[in-house]
Amino acid sequence: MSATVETIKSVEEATGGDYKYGFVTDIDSEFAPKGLNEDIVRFISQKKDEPEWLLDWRLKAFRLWESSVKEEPTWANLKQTPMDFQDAYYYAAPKKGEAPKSLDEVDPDLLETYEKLGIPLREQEALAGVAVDAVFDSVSVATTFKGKLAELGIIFCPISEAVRDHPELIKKYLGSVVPASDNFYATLNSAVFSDGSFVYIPKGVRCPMELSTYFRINAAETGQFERTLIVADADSQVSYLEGCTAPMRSEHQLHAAVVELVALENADIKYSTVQNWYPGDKDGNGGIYNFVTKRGACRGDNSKISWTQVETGSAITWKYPSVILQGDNSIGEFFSVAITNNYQQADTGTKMLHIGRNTSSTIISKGISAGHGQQTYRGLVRVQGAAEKARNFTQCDSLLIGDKCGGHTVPYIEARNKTAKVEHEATTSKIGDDQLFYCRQRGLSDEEAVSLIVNGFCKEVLQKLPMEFAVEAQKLLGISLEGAVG
Amino acid sequence: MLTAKSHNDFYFEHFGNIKSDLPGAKLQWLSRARTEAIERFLDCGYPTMNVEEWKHTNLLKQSDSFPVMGEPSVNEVAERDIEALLLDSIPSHRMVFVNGFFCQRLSDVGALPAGLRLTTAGEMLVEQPELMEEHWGQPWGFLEHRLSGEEDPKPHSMVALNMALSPGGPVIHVDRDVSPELPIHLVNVVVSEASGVMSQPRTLLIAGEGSGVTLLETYIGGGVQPHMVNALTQVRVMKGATVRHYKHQGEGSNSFHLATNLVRLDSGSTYSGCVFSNGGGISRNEARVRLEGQRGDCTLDGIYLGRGQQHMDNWTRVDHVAPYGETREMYKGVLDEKAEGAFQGKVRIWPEAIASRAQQLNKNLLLSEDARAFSKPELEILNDDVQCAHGSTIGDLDQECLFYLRSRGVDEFVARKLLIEAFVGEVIDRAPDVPIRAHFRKLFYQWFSQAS
Amino acid sequence: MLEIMDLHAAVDGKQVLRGVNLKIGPGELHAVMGPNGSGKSTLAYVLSGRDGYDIERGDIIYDGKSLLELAPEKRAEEGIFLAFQYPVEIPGVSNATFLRTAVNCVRAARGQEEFSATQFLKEVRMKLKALEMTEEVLSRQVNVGFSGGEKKRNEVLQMAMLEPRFAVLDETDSGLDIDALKIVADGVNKLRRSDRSMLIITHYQRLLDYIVPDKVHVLAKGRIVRSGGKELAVELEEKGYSEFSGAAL
Repeated sequence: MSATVETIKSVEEATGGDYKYGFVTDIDSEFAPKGLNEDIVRFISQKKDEPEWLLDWRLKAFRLWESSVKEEPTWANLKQTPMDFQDAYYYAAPKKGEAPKSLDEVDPDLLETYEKLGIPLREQEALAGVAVDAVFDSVSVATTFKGKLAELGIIFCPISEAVRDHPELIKKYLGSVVPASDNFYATLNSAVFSDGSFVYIPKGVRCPMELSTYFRINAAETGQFERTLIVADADSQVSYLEGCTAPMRSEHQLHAAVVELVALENADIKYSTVQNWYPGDKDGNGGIYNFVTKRGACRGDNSKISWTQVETGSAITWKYPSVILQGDNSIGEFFSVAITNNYQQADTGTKMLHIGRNTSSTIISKGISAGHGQQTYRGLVRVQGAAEKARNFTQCDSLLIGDKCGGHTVPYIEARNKTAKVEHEATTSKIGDDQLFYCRQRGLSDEEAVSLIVNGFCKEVLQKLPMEFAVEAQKLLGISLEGAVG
Repeated sequence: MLTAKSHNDFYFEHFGNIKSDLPGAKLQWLSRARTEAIERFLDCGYPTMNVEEWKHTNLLKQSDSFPVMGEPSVNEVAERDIEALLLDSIPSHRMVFVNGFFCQRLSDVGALPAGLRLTTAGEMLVEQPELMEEHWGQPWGFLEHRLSGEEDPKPHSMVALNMALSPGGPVIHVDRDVSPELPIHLVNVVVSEASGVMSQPRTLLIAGEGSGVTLLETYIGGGVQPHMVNALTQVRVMKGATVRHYKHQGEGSNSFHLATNLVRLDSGSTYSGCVFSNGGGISRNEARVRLEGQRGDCTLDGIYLGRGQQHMDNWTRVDHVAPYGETREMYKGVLDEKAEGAFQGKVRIWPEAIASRAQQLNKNLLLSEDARAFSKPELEILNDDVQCAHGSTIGDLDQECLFYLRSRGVDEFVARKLLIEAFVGEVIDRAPDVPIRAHFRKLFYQWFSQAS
Repeated sequence: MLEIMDLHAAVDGKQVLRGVNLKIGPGELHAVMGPNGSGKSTLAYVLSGRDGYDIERGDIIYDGKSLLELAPEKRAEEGIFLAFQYPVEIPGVSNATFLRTAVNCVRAARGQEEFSATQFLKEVRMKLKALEMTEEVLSRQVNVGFSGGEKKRNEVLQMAMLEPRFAVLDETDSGLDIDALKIVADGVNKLRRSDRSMLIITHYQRLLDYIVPDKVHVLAKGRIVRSGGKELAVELEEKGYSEFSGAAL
């Protein structure tokens, strides 16, 4: 009950469901010229002082992208205005002299921005036990708790810094899970990625705090292409959080990120996302096009990768956080709540590729569609011939609110091993009239009742989130569904 | 080896040769429809695996050996051979077709009750061309998203090929409020001993308002030469009518069996379909159903039993266009040795189709290391007043059950048989007609006893 | 009748039985008691021949022959019966079909004539009556939708039909309330005979109030650590298993 009350309160706070992160920070930024060509790729690489091999890697990706630019994928169940890739900025960074050596050197306007977002960067104010890397447009502006983590040998820094300081790790793992040739948007990202976080957890280390990256698109007409790489060495463990917001702008902005996770023997990676990019207004104008490639590889035996996502933002969401289960006994998990309201569209799901023996995967997906929202669950579970005793359980449920929305379920299930056991269940329904009536008879308003029922519907997934995120996610559910009833 | 070009030349030439001999060749609407159809096929060619609908079935590997047409008199079939192939003889009105051509000698239509017409397209085109134009002429309406027109024509090129080349198969017309006691049994025998054969059976069933009818289609035969059966069956279930439609697809391992069922349900009507498939080297059973009137009720069931190198593809698409409709689907596959089974099923609930219900279930048993199963149960829902669910499982026999039975003294072979029978029995027992259930069970026992 | 000798068994590479010795004579009823994880259910499964248990050492001699190489159904033919702790549900198979298939398989193997449908029905009705069960149970699917008590009574019915010479009852009391327990125990008692031995596996003593054993053994950490008469069960109920927790390593 308390969750509901809080949700309602936050709905009210949000003054009519407006996107509360929609402000713009007035800050002097440095842009690369609009458009995309080899020079821009060189420009980005040069700005970041990158070594030759990385520039070559980018250029190779760029040439591949250029040759496939006519083949932007169309298989997803999405209607989108075609993107003009030449009419956008591919690099924007807050202007400053030298890179800040400590938070005191960070532009106060930026610190204030993150405070407004609820992410105070100053360590003394930081969320208890969470280390934050903040990415503002194209660059990482601050990473907190670095020192403390370094004592344990944990590397948590902007990827640009890792290229400089830990080239052997980057060379070994960058693109090893999502190769540059993987898909249209991943190829684009590989050519122009600006910044992102790098995490390395050494052998046998359990990361003592949650690591978090906060992504913020600020500049107009700018694409954001961050790249995250997390490597958990043998017997290590880490929990990572990712949050995102953007100002309200009437044009669509592209966000094409790549996230790669590598779990070695006995390692455990938990990756949680609360995605709250600007979804566009209630008539479908503006909003972020969120085309993200997220994939983890359970390389070592007994390793585990767990994705949890709460997707409430973006005009379009296209993402399939996946796990390649190579190591014997490895475990993959995908827990997702996605909400589409107004004219939002989401085509999201996961892929679980069972390669090793005794691998198991669990997929729980909860989709809520309201208004004119369109949502598709698209998933693949594949059991290869050698994956003895592989197990999968999939449950995907869709809840529909209103008669103009759509909920679609497209699971692909393939088994090539008889000892495999693959189970898929799905339901689609509306909120029961009897449930609504029951709640209202007990004194809840329509909106409170919907919020209560939706929170219950998503409970299995919300429970998987770390505490701080769970509260935020619950609030977001309420806000995102504002205006969905009646 | 034939290239795509020479395929096209061949079909075009063949069409030119036979078109004036096809039934109803003088009817303008029909010759136009046939010309359109052959052009459509020539445009698209055989469906390839790049088309989502055909993702699991590769025709191109084999299609070089297809294009030889069956002739009405080439192949002799003895009556006792038919009886042997049929396994058991269900009392029925029986029509037999050999390589797509009607065979009077083997048929046993018997005494037809008043209001039941059982004839061929050839005769109907002479007697009631308007009726045929309405129900038989243009199946395209089924094949495209009527409201959006967005569908790719490529998946339907086999339907086009049948429309262009079919010599005209059975037509069943049931008058208003008539419910024949006996089922109608259509037996399609394929014989390809001397040369390869491609047959194009085409069936039409019109169930008038308030009528009730049972149709059993049997596809059997085979031969040493590779051959292809490309079947098209159209069913129109008029207001308040009930159609029970069964099919046994059991040709030999040199067969390619491709079949499309197009079913249209008017308001308050019921269609209950079940495909029992254990034959053919490669088979694909496609069903497309539209619930066009309110309160349509549709059941689509299937059993596929594969071994050796068999590939069995099941593809269903149900469109709820009108309110208050209900669909139930249950497909179960048992795959042994190197067999491959695929199920792709889609239920689409249109915005107008409020208060729709749909259930889809696909279960697969893999009995050997090399067997494979693919499953894609798909829901596409465009309004909120629905209750839909689907499920899919792939796995081996439940080892707990197997051990339980064995601990009671049942030997492994019998225990497996009992469990597999229970597995497919769930589908068989959904069939409304008791004699058909018995028939399907016999087919199952026969299949099981042939295990190597 | 049955002798277990120095039996070592492992599951997934983990040793569970570490040298069990047990000897049960004709017509005797023994109880094996022990805390959770002591290897009780493993013992039941190893006796009935379930896959997945590696016999590392030792033997089980039944009627002078080793059981170890026999498939589960061969053991059933020889007269070994396991009443499962969790009877398995078999959807789609009726109890009647299940029972008749099992009885006829076993009869055929024992050189007896198979039952016709009518003979079978006559036979099963007789047993049902003796166990105070109704015929309705025959038309239901095997254990599907059965309550805990119904499942256990169904096990007893199967035992009655298969007429084993050695029956293992694995945690027959689990999940039963006292009334259901009495009914099941009553059924088991009716099946006690001078040529039928039984091994009852249980955690609690209460079942042994109703099915009185000739001997009680304590299994802890994979070994029989103590044996005694029926009074041992009462003692265990009072003192618990704590005194054995460190034993037998």
